[in-house]
Amino acid sequence: MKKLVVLLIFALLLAACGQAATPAAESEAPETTTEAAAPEAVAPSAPTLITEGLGTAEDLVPTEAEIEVARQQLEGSLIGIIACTMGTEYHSTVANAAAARAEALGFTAEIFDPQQQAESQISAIENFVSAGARVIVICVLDPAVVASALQEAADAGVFIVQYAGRESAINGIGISIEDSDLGCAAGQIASNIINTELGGEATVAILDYPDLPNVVVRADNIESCLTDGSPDVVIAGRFLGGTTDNGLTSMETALQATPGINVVVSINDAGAYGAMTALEAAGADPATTVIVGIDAETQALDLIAEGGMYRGTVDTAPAVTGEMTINAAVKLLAGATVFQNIRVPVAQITIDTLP
Amino acid sequence: MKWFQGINRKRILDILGENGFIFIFLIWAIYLSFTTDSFLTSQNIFTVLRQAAIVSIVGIGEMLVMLLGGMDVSLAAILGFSGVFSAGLMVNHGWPVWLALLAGIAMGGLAGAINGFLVTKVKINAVIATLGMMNVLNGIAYTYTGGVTIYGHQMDSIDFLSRGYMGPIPVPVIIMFVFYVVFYLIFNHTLFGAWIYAIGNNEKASWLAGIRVDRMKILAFTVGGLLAGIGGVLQISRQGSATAGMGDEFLFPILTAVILGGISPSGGKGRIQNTLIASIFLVAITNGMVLLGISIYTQRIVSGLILIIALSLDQLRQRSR
Repeated sequence: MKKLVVLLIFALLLAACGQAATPAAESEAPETTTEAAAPEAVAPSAPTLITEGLGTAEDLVPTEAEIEVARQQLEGSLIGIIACTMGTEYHSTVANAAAARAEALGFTAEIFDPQQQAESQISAIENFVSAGARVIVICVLDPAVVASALQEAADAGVFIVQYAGRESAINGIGISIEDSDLGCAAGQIASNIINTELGGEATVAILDYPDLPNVVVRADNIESCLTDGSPDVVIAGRFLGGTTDNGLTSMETALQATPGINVVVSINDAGAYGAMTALEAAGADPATTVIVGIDAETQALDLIAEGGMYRGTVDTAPAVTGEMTINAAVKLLAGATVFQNIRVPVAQITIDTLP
Repeated sequence: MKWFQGINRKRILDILGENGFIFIFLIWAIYLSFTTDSFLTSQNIFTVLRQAAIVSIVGIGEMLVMLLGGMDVSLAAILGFSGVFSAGLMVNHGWPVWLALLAGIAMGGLAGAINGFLVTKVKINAVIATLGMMNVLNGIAYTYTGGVTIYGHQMDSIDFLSRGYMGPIPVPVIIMFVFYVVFYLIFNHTLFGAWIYAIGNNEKASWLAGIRVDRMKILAFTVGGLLAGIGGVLQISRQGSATAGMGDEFLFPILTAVILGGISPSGGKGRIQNTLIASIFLVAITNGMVLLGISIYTQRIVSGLILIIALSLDQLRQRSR
């Protein structure tokens, strides 16, 4: 019996070693794919990453030859897309746009939803590597949490394309709207309205979401750009937002402590909706109350168009970002020369600039 | 000092343990009433009660299941699913508002009934079965919405459920108290309530006494699902929209309220009024910290410490026994 157990363990170990070697072997076999390449295709080699400066969306648009090489590289493989969550319009749009772009190019792509749990992104990375993914497109929730898993993936020859951040794009490309840009844009929208309509004075509440370090940067910049533009505003405090219920609950309570709050700037639109409900319930005057969010969700655009207290949002270009991630994957697979860091410009949206 | 010597140390521990979190709640409330201007205003008290309404109503469902010795971790997901289902029917499919709301609540009950069936007939552990249900419902909600918020003018007509007043009292507060009065009577003055406690205390003896244990369990899960469905309807009214992830926020508060309220995880023990007080206490912790102007980053530490102290007092009681 003991012998049988030993034999079984030995067999399992052998099988495990064999499986572990498979992805590396695949990633080190460019000759095979080159032979099968179409005559006009560029032979795949390691991409050259330009680390100085920031590229743009245009820099990532692949040529037909690059797409062809990428297609061959992905033969029998896939692109793993790890979202931050599929529960918000922004994040689901990015991930779905990436999947749609991949499908349009004839690639296989799979989306994983970690539901805002940074820890579950580790397993997702490992699973995609085991599944033979050549590229992982990821929205990193917490860089420190996934650093080791991403390094292991990169060591196994997987290219990392990070969106909504850049610090984790090991062996790959980081595509990001800067959280500082987003926060600043929202702060500037609020500041402009405060200066032109409220005489430069207001009591401001900022809706934050401390669970996500990246988003805290956004809140920091909301505050700094708002106070730079309107130095006479009073910041009533930072309150928990991020979801509609959080925004609503926080503002209901904040209004008890500071009834004079007449401006709310939120790190996203979802939290801002809740704040708006609380302010409406408290009888706030839409003419002197200002709410600004970030994400340019459909509901936010509708509310801005209605001309009420929801006065602005910041367009984060989620669909474009999603397409850019797949374009970046193509560049990496095709061994192109490309910027390692790509910036997505933000756009301030008010009633005057509604798309 | 004679009066003091006369008090048995064990008795003090018993009183503290039995009502430990209520003592901490009282201390917290007294502290806030002295340090803030607005905590004891009627407006703020109604704000706290309104914010506690949904958690406390769904908490009754969790309590029902836990009194039977089980645990339902899917109630928050049922809440989210029911809300999305109702909102979807009324906004995307043009259903009459009341029919959409009833359908959402019914779907909650159906999900609860399936939980009960899985636990009693398929014999899956309650936590595992409801964990599976949680994922299924979340998945359906995410798939249906595609991450996009459901909103529309149709939802304006249910505003009064969360924003309306009957006299000076907010409607959700009235709904909450009505549920608690009804279930207080059920738990304490009906055969159904007696059976629930009996099964939680000794399932086998209850079965031998002729109580249909499986049927009672399925009923408990179903009622839990219905209450979560009602919670979902109240939540979409509260936020004026529905999102797939809107139930996620409720899992921790529901379980905390029930456990803090003294419902024994092994079943058979616990008072419904303590679940209500615990739900209100949880909201009052956050409410107080905002009124005190405590940094958002420090709030978690303080709320964690308050909960640890409150639960520690319960342990004192158990050790003294």
